Amino acid sequence: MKKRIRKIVIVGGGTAGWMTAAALARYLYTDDYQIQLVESDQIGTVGVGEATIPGIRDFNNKLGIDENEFMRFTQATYKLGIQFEGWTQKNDKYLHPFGYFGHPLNGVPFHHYWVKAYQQGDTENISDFSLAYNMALKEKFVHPNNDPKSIFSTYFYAFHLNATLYAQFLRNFATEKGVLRTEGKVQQIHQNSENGHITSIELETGSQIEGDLFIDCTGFRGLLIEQTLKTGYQDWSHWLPCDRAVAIQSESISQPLPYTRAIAQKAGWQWRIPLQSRMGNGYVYCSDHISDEAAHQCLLDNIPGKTLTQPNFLKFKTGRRNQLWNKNCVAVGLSSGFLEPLESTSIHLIQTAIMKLITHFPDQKFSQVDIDDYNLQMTEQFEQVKDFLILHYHMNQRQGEKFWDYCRSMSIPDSLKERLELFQTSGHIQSCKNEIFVDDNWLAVYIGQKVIPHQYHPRVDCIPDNQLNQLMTQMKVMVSQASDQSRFHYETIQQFCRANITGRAS
Amino acid sequence: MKDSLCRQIVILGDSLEGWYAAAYLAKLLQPLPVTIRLIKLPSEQLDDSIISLPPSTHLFHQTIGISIKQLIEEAAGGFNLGVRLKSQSTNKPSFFVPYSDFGQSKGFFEFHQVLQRLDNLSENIVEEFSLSYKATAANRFGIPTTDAQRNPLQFGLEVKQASYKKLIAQQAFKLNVDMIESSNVELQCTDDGMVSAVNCDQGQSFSVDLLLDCRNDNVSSSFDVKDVAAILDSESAPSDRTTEKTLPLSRQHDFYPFGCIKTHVINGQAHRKFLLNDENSSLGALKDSPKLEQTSISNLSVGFLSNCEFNGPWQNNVIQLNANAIRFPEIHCEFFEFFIAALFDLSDLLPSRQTMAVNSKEFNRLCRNRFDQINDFHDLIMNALRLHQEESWQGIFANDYSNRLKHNTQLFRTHGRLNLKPDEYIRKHHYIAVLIGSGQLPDDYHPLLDVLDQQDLANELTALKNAQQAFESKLPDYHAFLQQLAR
Repeated sequence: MKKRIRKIVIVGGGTAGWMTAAALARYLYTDDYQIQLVESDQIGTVGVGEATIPGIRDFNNKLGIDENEFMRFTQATYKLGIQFEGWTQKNDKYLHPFGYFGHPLNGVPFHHYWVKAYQQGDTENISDFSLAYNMALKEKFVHPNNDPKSIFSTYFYAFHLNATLYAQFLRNFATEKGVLRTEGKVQQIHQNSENGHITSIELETGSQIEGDLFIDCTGFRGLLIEQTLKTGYQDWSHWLPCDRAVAIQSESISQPLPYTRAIAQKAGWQWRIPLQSRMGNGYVYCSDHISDEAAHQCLLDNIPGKTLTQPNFLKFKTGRRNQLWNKNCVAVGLSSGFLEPLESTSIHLIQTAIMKLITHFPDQKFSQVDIDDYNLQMTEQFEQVKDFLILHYHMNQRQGEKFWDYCRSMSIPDSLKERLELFQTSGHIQSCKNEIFVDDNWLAVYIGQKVIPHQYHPRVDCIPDNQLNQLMTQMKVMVSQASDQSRFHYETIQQFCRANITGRAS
Repeated sequence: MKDSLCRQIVILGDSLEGWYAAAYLAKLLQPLPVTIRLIKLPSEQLDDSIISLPPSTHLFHQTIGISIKQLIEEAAGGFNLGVRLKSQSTNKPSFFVPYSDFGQSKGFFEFHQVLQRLDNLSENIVEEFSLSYKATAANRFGIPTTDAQRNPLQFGLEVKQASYKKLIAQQAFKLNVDMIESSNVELQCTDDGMVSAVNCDQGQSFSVDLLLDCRNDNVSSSFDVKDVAAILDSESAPSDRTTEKTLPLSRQHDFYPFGCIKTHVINGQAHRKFLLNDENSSLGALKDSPKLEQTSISNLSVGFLSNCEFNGPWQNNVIQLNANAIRFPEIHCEFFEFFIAALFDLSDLLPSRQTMAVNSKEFNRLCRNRFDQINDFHDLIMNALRLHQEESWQGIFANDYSNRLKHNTQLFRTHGRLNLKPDEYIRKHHYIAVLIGSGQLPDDYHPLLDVLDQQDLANELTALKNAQQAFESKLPDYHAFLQQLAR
């Protein structure tokens, strides 16, 4: 007789909780499984990740969600990348687009040709060769296509969304599919005295909820994974020293941009996330270098529209749990670890955790090798994001500001050191095909942070200079024309997914 | 960049690998002012026995301009669709590892997990569901599309090695590769360990920016001097700066029958070389059959490198690119795959003088990863063939699996899962063919498969079988296909 998991208890609503509930409801749709989510309206949610990366479309597709309906509901806008402002020198900016730069010639990646042209002074901006980059800066957006011959197949997109509404949207989806929602605050956790597994949670009302598998979506608290199971935490704040954030919503004063803005400030950076209805703002900072009050004031000074909410202060420690799955408890979302939202990876890490839970779905034996494998794979995901984030900070050129001086001089992980050395010396991007961020993502940030390779691939010289100039000019013209011909971002929103917002200006 | 270009590339050795490298680099670097010289040293001539080339060689052939038709006509070639592995002992398992994937995964679920849900999983999974196997067994073959990469039947080639080498050498000559014959070579090194020139017979000397050592009469891998010294008898330890010494194997390595170690010292850096006997191996590939039978495994010598760390084949400006650089048991044709992959990596990481150090580090990292993956697969095969139970293999394989392989075999045992990356060198279906083919069935299938309707799954399986049958019946007879191709 096979001993299957029958009862899954998700503790905590919010983005992580409802994403988990929705996905499990989608795949465990028979009466043999019971999925129960416990949340309390009295406990606020952080509302992580209002900005996303393209992988979210895959998650929504797997759930069978209609994109336009989802966008209307969550007041979402399209996103083609992230603009980093002031990360090198104060007035510099660059965009990390979701798409390719140029295309390979003779099997040699495009950026080697660009390096040669750059060295010869023939071209300055690699942005000229990215359609996503061009469209974003011209405030354009059209949906990409799948025709590999078309320039419109060379980019991807994600969304800016209202995370609270996304949780609500998924809550509707999940409850329609049979997920049971229970309102209540958890008072106690009960464990099996022999193996330490969680057997039930007890609510303030005294009611007990038993389960076979528990998903901890309780945010930073880690009520199950840490407070109960004492899993331990790896602190990465020596590499990513920001430990506070303050968030405020404000009015939109112009049409939403199809990209997120990440603006470097004295002791961290400020986000601006444009939704259809409003602007999300926040300042991620290091408390060693700025006080909460000063950070709040700095944020207020840099918000163009009227503020709509009181400041929401958050404290965090960058890092991850030693195990993201411990015994019969899986941590999803902020309970599993925290990496600042500089590259909008929070929702991506949630969806990856959920999909890996489904591929590693256990039975009542909770085989340790399955658990180890899940932890191995999720740890890799965290590590990949960590290195990518460190790159942004470490390669800054902001002289004379203590926070930035520290980031520039701090030691970095060997894995990143190797990647950087390789790119700086020879222009080769270490293979990252199976990672969250692939070649062109790394390229955008390398070049954006002014890491220009000293050498290009020797085979670049196989193409005569005049022929290469011609080819590069052609590419540039194609990108420019395609972006010029594209529709404005707000027009695409109007056509496909305009949200019904009360009081919207005409 | 033009100033730092490696203009002088020297390839040592008239081996198949040497000509591969020469032709490939000559093609890639064609319009650049680069001289590629291959130095032919006296070595045993290749006989015209059949060797097997895996599917990854197609891209190489395309690049240097050799067609499949040419290979069939001029190298007396044939096709194969996978590798059959078996032990000499009749009571041991044998199984076919197809080049192409088999069955059909369903969302999150692997095909074998679905079969297990249907109580249909047996050791014969490949025989029942692999098109490659069925075509092989029925002696049928075809290339339904000219694009070999998109062919549902991934195929390898079997060629007569001497004829094949000749064909590649011809292409290399067309691409302006120079060949120099010499009875011996002496390497001249700079103080920083770079080989600066190669001295040949009659006072000929050629300057070197990049040296590819493709001599195939020995095995080369780079090790710290102290590692080598620990293995060699102390009185025979290398001392000269550029000498070669041949020494008998020490006792630690006496499982290599008839082998010996050669040590080549360049500027104090010892390059240990194994010379291994594999005279008893027989590939048994036949031109007129798409099968590749490989037997006599237990007579093969296997180069297991213990107590020493593999640094990778590229040190300073010397790359050891020969069949013996890393010795694999010839139970699967990984060497060519390894070699081709290394050659492709080299083209990505082609150095200038300034990037030599950093590119070599990355190249070696990639090679080490690949090497680990191949080693794991070999250990898996050895275990599956139960060779470790045979006297001659005792003590070699037992308890020597990597943590990664141990983890994967345990993972497979619970619910049929494997943790392999999509671009892993050894593909997932190879693991599955070996594991299931040797009777290592998972204890249970993926628990969430219970959600799916059993009858629906059974119907899908029937549909898959019918589609496979229809495909197979349309394939031409193998001999007829060969004749038509050669016409």
